[in-house]
Amino acid sequence: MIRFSLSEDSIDPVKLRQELPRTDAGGYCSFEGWTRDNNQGKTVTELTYEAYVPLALKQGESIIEEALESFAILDASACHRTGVLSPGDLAVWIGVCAPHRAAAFDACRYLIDQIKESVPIWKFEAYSDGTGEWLAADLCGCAANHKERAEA
Amino acid sequence: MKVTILYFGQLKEQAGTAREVIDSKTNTVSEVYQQLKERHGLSLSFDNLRAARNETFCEGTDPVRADDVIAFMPPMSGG
Repeated sequence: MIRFSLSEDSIDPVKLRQELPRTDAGGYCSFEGWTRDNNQGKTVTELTYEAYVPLALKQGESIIEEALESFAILDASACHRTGVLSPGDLAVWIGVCAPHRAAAFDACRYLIDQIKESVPIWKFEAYSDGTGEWLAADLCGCAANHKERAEA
Repeated sequence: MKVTILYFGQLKEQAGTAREVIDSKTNTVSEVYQQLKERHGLSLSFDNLRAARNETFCEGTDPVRADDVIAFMPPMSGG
């Protein structure tokens, strides 16, 4: 069964969600990663996601298999965009269903963190001043935000 | 021996190509990277990137064989 996919076209979360529900699940949790129109004080006009496709698919499947073994969940799937996106577009979608909500929330968080850290996908941001750059995970501000929340 | 190299993200920009076939006399993945780092002026040290050999993550000490496909990947930034 394929649980991790890459898409060159817009992600349809309704369609992806329809593949998950089970009668033995009591809860469903989803995460959507959206593209921001700003970063580090610059206005983002366009984003490009590049993937090392065969390895990204393999690693994505591996992460979901780990989540299925580590959390009390019934199923999970994820889809990540590639290609050129505009601010506000859906870049990544994750869905998890479980007998109880706590495991669904935890697994969903685990999956997005692992996808960002270890699935070979890179983001290039183009800015309104004509410049652009490839981002590293630690430049997106997420790590600092996670730390603040963990310490709160 | 002939080895195919794949670059991604900022490494692709710095190398000026996404893919090249090189003639390498080095023995390990990290030695291949060092050779290319000097040739292309790549900014990242091997410790700051991930490498894959034939579509599987690998270590710098892994051996390189003829016709291998070696990918050098900067820190990932999906999501």
